[in-house]
Amino acid sequence: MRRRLRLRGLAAVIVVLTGCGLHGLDFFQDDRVEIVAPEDAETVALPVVVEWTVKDLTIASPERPGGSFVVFVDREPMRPGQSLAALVDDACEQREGCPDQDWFVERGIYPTTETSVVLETVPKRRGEPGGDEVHEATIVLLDEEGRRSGEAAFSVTFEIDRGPEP
Amino acid sequence: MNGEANPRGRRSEAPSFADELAAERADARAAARRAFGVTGGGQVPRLRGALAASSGWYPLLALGLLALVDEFQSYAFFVLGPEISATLGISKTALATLVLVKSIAITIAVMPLAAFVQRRARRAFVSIATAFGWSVMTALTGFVVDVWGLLGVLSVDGLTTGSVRAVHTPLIMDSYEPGVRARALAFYRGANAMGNITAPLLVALLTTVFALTWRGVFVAMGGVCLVAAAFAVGLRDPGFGHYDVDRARAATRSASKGDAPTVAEVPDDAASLGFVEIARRLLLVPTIRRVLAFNVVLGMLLVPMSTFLFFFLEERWNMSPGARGLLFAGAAAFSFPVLWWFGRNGERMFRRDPAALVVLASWTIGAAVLALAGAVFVPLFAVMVVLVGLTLAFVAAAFPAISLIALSIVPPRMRPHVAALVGIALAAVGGVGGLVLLGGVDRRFGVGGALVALAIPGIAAAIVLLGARRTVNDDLDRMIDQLLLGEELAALAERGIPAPLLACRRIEFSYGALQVLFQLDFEVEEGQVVALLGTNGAGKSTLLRVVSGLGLPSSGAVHFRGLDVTYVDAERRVALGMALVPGGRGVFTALSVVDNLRAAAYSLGRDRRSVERGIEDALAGFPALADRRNQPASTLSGGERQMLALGKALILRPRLLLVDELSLGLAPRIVSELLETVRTINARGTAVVLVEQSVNLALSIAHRAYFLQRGRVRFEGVPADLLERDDLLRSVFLEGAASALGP
Repeated sequence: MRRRLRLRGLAAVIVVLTGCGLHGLDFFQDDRVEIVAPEDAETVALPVVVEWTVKDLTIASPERPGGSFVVFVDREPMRPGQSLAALVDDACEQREGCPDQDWFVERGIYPTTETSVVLETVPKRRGEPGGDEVHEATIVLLDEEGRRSGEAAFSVTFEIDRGPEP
Repeated sequence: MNGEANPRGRRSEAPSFADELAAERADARAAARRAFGVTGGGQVPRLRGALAASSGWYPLLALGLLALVDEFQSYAFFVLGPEISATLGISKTALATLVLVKSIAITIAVMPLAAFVQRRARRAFVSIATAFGWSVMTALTGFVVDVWGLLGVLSVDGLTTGSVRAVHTPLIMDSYEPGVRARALAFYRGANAMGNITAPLLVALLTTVFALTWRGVFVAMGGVCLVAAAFAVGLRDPGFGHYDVDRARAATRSASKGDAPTVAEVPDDAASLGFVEIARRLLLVPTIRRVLAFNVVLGMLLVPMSTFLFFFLEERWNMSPGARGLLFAGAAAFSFPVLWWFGRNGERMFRRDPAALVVLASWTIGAAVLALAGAVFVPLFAVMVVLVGLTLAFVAAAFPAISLIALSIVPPRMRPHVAALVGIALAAVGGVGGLVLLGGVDRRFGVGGALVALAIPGIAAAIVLLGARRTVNDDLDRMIDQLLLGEELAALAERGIPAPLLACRRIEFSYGALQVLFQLDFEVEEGQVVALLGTNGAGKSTLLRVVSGLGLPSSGAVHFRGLDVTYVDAERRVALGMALVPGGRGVFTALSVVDNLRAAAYSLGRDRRSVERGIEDALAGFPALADRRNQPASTLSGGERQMLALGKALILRPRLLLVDELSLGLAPRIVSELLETVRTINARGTAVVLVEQSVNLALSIAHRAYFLQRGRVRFEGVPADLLERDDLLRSVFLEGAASALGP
């Protein structure tokens, strides 16, 4: 009985520890990026401008593909260390010229070297507990290789007012 | 019971202990009720003195502290989910699935934990070990890098926090004398409510003042949990029933002039029961069934309530997530005065009459429902906050009341099982049921409508619980009676009187609503043949079912070879030396004679050589069967089938053979052969209980006879005395018995 218990405990520890790490983990908040628009929980109209300021952060040159920021709207970003390519599905990979800017935008992904993006369209979120029009924009940083840099993620929640239905 | 001489002469001069104690039973029961805290008066012992007389403040503080921190991981995960999702790139659906996995882990954990502590009192060890477990898991959550890591920490955290449900309240019950238990449970529940306040404040503090990420928050919270676990290291398990069962036994000894045995000599009924046997026994207790049903229905209220309340606050009052969290934290503070009030008054009610506490708990749930409905309709924000607070407070107050009731009416070893079953009923059955049943209500009637709809399960839960007021005292008495029965048999041994081979005391049994056996006493001495007689439907076969374990009594006790086997599985009774020959159905007709015998032998798990020897011995006893050993049992005559059934029973080498309707449908010649076989079996030392319609047959070989009528013993004594009972002999089937037996 005891041996079985110990074995189970050991197995549980192994499972847990294999899913843990020590390097590159952020335990303190990163304040290099501050989202200035929209304000948290603000109600806005389309197009929505997401704007942020940076400090102590070197922005890569605009010529380098991939940019230095990626804004994700209503979706989770890729894991730390992954590039945007990790988000590309098989169907896109088999198409020439894919992924392109449109492909990313359709999926709520906005790579940029600027400190703002304009969201021309934001689909309603069906079945979300917070409501169809409560949206979330998450900004992550990319390194010089185009991979997600660190774990830092900066989010803002906003509500879209589309006006009266036509 | 009569004190007639029996043929073996083992108890020839000794009076029945049950007779001797009959006059003392009422006193003993009353004394035992007082030992369990039901004094009949409203006097409540002073808290400080009563705690000091028990285990002191430490167990309560340690367990309260653990209850305060055990939900930290869950709360932080709930609040910081979006940040975790953004960091690890995990979808919210995956996070929701992980939360579900944790809930399942909590539900699963309670059963093995209850089983783990049922034989040895190691609830304190489990509490400490699991506290360190969940503390480490909370801290490790800050180090996970992928979904598998999260799955691991949440699963282990769920498995370890399950201990809180299964072990903590039973440990509190056993750590304190009954006079302070309501207050102790209320304090513990208050600590849990304090956790609901502390967790959001701690998360807010760590994220704003200390600027920690979600990782930092989990590591810090894990550290706090570790401190709490370290504080609890001094917990010691006081053992099972030190402050109630032992005192009840002491009170019983006092009531019986102090000449009964010491506690250590009393066989403990639950010690040999497995988890399933205990669970099955608990489900026979009407109040426990009520409490479980109540929790199922209450789960339908509670689980959707928190979700719907969040949406209601957002839609109706435009509250942000942070404001909602603060409101819930503030609302939890309402629990403290309500729990304080309950602790003192609940204690008083329970001491006066446990049924009164049942009524209070039912009304408390009803009040919670009213407060919730009021919160939906009230136009003033402040009043709404108060009503939400009262809802949470009333629900919080109901829990210690229900715990006290449910845990007080079962033996201490079974309390973790009650807690486990309650946890499963509330979360797994009721919670899931509530989400399924009420999932569409909000879409049709809005969130406010859904909250009002929750009044239905709320009121239903209160009504279900209210019904327990009629059963709780009886169930407490039944539990006490079983305790006293053990005392009686132990006292028998103390006086040098060997315990009967089989002793059934105050057995009651029902088929659904139809009660068949009433307060039935039945004994078999070593080596006796006992005839069990009675009219059709008297309960003879039912009594055999109870003795053999095929049926479980609703009250009373069955002791076999000095062990309480009342709720022991039938197959384990076989291993103890009991075998049943069921009337007319004792063979597998599709199997051969030898295979029938082999099937019986293998049920004991014997080795091949002893199995074969047993088969040959059985066949040697029945030459008619030996000649047809390889033929299917379906080709045997009725008499041969009975022989085979007897052979199957004998292969188990029983100390007690129960034979149901040996002569049914058989020719007289065959019957006399079978009777001769029974005599031979008895001559070898096996006691026999013979259920027979044919009285002349039964009395011709019996040393002792019982006559049942409508589930009650109408006669017990030697066969010759039965023959003098004209009132019984006039029964239709007894006609001619006297002439058959002779002087």
